[in-house]
Amino acid sequence: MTANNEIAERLRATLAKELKQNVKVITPEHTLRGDLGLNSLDAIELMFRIEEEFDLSIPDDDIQGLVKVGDVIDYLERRLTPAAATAHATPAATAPRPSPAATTTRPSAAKAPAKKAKAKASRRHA
Amino acid sequence: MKKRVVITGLGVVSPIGVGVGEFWKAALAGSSGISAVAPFDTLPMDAFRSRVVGRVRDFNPAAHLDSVQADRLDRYAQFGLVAAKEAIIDAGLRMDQEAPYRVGVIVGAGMGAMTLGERELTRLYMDLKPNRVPPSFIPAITMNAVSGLIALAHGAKGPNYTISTACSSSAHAIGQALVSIRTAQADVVIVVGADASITPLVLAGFGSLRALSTRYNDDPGRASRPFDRGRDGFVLGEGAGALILESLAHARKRRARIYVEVAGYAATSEAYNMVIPREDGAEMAATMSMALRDAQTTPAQVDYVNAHATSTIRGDEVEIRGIRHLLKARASKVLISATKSIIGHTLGAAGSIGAIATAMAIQSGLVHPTINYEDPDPECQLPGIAAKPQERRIKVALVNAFGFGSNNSSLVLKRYD
Repeated sequence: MTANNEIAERLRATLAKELKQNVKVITPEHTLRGDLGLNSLDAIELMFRIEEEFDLSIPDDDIQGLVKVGDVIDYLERRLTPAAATAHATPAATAPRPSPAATTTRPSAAKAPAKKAKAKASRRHA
Repeated sequence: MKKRVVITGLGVVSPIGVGVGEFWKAALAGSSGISAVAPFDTLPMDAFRSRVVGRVRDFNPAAHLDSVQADRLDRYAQFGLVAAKEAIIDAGLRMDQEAPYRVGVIVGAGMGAMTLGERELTRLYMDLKPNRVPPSFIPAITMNAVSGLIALAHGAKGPNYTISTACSSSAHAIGQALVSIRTAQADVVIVVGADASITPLVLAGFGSLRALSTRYNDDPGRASRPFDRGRDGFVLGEGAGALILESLAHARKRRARIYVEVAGYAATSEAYNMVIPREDGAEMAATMSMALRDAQTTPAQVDYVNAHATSTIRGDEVEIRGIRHLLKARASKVLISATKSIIGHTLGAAGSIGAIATAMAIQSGLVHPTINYEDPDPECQLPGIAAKPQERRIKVALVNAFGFGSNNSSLVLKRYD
């Protein structure tokens, strides 16, 4: 729980800085794209910031599953908390831990099949 | 009636050969120009998402240019100058017999002198000597460097400028040349598309955008695969294409050999997203439709489409959707090929090289293959896409080029007879 809170606070601070918004208005229920207004490029930028802030690397396949702020908190918790890491052998979000806040929205997010995530990975036309 | 405009000369520098003869032979043979990227100095190469490129091999600037230009110019400028010279010779255009103010130069370049830019920037911060930035730096990195250099090299004093619209730059350059000749600003326009930005910053940047192929780093020849189910992004390429456009009257007067007629052009903006096309393809269809109308041609007359088809998932799907939307039943009868399957995405040069491939297809009656088209993606499948060369007497062809910044362009090339 404490780990979760600390991660949540750091993430909200990162988001607030990246989005130039007041940290207080950002809640776990906010969607990154819809509510916080990130476009696809902003979302990648945000992942860069998160990777730096939390010193980890987020695979492309995982990014598609991160729809809400709460998804990112859960994801980071899973990747960073030692207990969670041992409970889930693969840290790359294949088996999400149920979380009261986000269970209803998670299936489309964290359980998104790798195939679908890949298919979306390069939708550019250059 | 609109003044008729024709193409009388071609030149190319490409990953499959320098010179149109070599280029076209390799294109018909479907030999891939994609290779593993050469290391960038001390940078950790495995950190680059995409490590395959369409690099021009065996290009020795000193063989084509004087030693000063060979040393000081950016690679894309060297490509542009070499392609332009080939096209001028191919067209039999003798500048001493032309009215200089009637010959223009229009260049399309998306990235410009990135190689030089990155090199000098790095050097500045490493050496900390601002007074040692070469005086040739600024004139070399201004976006109109190549149009200026070509004018100087050949004494072309007509309209002279560069169009920069990312990946559609040189299609717009051809279109603007058409407009310039139609409106009597010039009788002849030397059109060049050029880019050579296989640099660490550009390769990394397109990688961050998730625009590049990453799955075939160990098998470069298979990385660029438009319309194939296994495609996963484009391959960064480099090159230049040059075309001599002139009024039909001017070409006839000097008894020039005519490749094809440039009959129509359209330029639009999707006003939608900087890097992603509108999903339904309606914007691309609208652009192609306007170009056909400009050419006084109907969709039912189209025989061949040289597709923009970069090998990205969304881009290829949307383009085929647009083609289906516009051509209706005709969509299953047209031939379609993706030049980028063979050479990768040459960015600003892509439109000009696509137009050259189309001119050659109309001339020869042969359409080059779309290589690596092994497992057709049902989302963008049409019977006219083939992994083998196809024969067809083409009367009307579309050349598509779409670019970042939400911009689209289409050209119509017609058989001249």
